[in-house]
Amino acid sequence: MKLEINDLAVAYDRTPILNGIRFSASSGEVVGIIGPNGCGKSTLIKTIAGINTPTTGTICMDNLNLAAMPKIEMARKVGYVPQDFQQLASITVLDTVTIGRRPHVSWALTRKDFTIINNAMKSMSILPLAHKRLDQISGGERQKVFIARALAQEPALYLFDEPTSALDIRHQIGVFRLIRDLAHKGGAAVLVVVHDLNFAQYYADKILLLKKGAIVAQGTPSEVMTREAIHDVYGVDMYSITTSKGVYMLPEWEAGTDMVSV
Amino acid sequence: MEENIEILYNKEWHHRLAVLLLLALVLGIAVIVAMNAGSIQVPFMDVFRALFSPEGLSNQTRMVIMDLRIPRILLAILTGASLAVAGTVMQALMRNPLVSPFTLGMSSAASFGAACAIVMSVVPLIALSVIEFQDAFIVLFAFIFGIGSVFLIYAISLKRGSTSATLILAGVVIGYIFQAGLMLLQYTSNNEKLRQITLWLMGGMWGANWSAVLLITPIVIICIAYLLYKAWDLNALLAGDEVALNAGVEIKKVRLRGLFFCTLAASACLAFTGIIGFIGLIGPHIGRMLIGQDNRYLIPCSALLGALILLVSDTIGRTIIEPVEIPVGVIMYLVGGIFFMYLILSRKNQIFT
Repeated sequence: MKLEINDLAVAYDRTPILNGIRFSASSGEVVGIIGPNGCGKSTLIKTIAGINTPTTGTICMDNLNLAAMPKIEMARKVGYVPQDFQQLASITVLDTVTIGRRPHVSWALTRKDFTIINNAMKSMSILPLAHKRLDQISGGERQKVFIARALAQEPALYLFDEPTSALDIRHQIGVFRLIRDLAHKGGAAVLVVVHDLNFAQYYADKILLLKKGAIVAQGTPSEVMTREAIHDVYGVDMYSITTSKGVYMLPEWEAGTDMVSV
Repeated sequence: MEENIEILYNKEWHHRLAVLLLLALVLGIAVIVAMNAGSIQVPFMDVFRALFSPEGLSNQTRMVIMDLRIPRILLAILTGASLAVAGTVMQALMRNPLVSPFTLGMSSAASFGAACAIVMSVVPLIALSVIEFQDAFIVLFAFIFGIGSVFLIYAISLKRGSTSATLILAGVVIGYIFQAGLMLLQYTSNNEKLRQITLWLMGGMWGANWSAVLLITPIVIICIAYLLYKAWDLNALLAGDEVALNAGVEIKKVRLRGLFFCTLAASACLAFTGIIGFIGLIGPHIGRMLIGQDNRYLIPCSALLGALILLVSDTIGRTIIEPVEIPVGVIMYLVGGIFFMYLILSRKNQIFT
């Protein structure tokens, strides 16, 4: 499977948010999307998920335009995990994960569906929460529920919008390992918006660096996440420290420009 | 661990099936009791004979069962089912537990429409068909105004920055606007029309006859069947618009069509019964407490509950102080309200927002 995005532009009420976006992602690849707040990362993910309509450009999967695809067919191919899930009814965890099977079933669930739901919930360790309502569990647990829902959908392309924003470090690592497995072992393509540059450089195969609605650099983490590029985009100086366990990026605490005005 | 979810799900399924069967059974019993009870007591054996072998029964018994009680029972069942299903689906579509055909201002709008039709019938009509014609007129007007108000609310909900609170407030305000028109009509109409309007506003099964039942039966069946067919989409909407969209739900289409069918079913019934509150708002919540959020089960459950609540209330209303009939609302709001309070207080972990 190959996702190809060409000349994509998106605007909200005529204010341009994204411009000239062009990149591709293939099966087996984790693409990390990084960039400062408000640079259009979430908009990009939502546009690929079909939630925002692009003003120009195309999003194609294996040369098929997603915009022209029936919604149900697209739902079998693309799974999306939103960043925030505010307006929720009192639906249970199990019912939420089950929604992931909706594109695949017409009415009743089969044994295969149950196995998939079971595995999705198990991998997010939310089986014990099955009968809890979404408003009875913590923000982090809720995030895991929505990841499990996307897993149950079994798409070829996953879109994660900051999937670990509410999770502790152990679960952050767990989710990123899962994301890597989805791509490397499961053969899916994964686009993930990441704020933590360390996670981005360690788990992503490819990085898109966004600034003010445009991709300013793309390539492998070591190609893209240079000191200069990070300084240019975030206005912060970062140091790379290489140890036997890997490469770590740390900010220079007191140097750099005034962050608020960046 | 492997079959954990399946076992859980099947257990739930059995529970849900049991609830539905039990409700159907109770409804069946209520129907038989309703045929038997009234100012003319018909023995149970005669009830069955009237249904299956009417020979040998007195004309009066036959008429009471076939022409008075059965249409009335059917009207109560159809109306209760439509209102409860409409409430369930509207709550799912708008993702708001306070939404019902009534909180959205639809009832005021439909009342205004019905009152218009009642007042306007001064226009000389073809003598023979006056009654049927006026009925059809009321149905049509109640429906047009009802659906107009719902789509107005829908348009407001699409505006950026509108929240559930905006929606409810807009519904209440739209309700007041139509109330103003309604009051004006009431104030200016003559005694006979005023009585008709007041009766309609009070609501009741007085309008039951076979032609009403035959007219609304197909409407109700088609509407409920369509909404049930969309149960998965409604389930997906509960997890938020973005998630529903990602699950392949065509949100706008589902919302618009869903609201259309809800309003059609509800207003078709209301046109004959007048204003019937409570069921549309509370029926779905009782259903959720009994059977959960999954609309594949919740919709039939709400339908049965709504039918049961309205039928029982109507039967009590027309028998409790015979031969005087108490408006169905009096019984329903009282008994239903107390039952609902009991459910809220007795459950620690109820599914209720």
